[in-house]
Amino acid sequence: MSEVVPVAGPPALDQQHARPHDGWLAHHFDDLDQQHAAAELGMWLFLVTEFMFFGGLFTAYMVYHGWYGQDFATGSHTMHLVLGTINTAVLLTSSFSMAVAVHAAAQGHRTMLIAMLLATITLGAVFLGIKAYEYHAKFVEGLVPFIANSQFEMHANVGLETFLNLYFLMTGVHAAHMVIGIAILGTLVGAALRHRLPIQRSVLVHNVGLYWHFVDLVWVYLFPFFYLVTG
Amino acid sequence: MAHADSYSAEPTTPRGAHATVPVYLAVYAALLILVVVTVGIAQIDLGAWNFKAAIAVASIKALLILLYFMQVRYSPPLIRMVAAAAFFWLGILLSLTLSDYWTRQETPYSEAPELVVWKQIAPTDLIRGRIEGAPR
Repeated sequence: MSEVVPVAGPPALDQQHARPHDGWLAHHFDDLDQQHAAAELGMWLFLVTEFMFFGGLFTAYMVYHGWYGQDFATGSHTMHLVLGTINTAVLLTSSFSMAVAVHAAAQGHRTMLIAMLLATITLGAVFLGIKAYEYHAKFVEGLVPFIANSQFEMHANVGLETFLNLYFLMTGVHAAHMVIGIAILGTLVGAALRHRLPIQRSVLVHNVGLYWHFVDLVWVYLFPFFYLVTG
Repeated sequence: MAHADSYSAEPTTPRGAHATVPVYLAVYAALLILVVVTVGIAQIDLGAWNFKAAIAVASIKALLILLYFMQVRYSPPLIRMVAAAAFFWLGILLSLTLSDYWTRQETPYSEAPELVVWKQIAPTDLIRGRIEGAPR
């Protein structure tokens, strides 16, 4: 493929690789700006598919909410509003720390970047911990639809069952995204600690930030969907 | 390659670094206030408007996250277009689906008994066999 042929031609590629600050430039891009624009665009296209993925679940929720509004209100009253509100604040805080991490990376502040990434990971873990407690509470109360037990008769109340099914499906998929996000943040911290991260021009940190904010954005809708239904 | 001459040894200002920490702080504070607002609204009985208000507040929060945390406001037009396209397609999905389901009970098209049954109940009730005389 890349056979060295000694002919006189444009030496641009060799010159690019020789430049000290452009070591992260892939050979098929003209410059880092172009490379970063392409990476950011790719990330956004991925996020569009994620919007549509959660959008399908949102649509399903809307349709069922139209049918079973009263049962959804009943189901919403079984949720722990205080824990849900705290979790919302925790996730918004993690989004703030992620935004500061992206900012620190852009400024080239490696220590600040690592600290903010660790803060984001910690807050994400707190969110998942509270979520796990809520799942456990639902299990103890017998409100897990697909595990029939004495306190929740299967198919006795289709509306409530649908609400709880949607709750576990949508918050479960959301939690899975959080677990993936925390894993990616962990690898970022590792790379930054080993000086393997091109910090100042890193589109990687920016893209991981986009992913994390997207997960936050989904929760912004899940919170009123499941904790704030009245009727 | 003409580009080779346009390089500088020092990295130029990184893209996406336009929002500053005070801006992030302000957005973060606004988001927390909106959480309090939406929880507060849920404690007041507004009937059907409770759900609409909750969605509206969530959308304001989502917009803040998109514009500032996700830096759409400072992004090049292509990125903004892609972000807008996501919501445009979501809009198609939601509006076409819900314009059907949310208007079925107000659609006066036939008083044939089986159609009256169909437009007032959820299919899951049919599956459970809860509606007598429902079409199979």
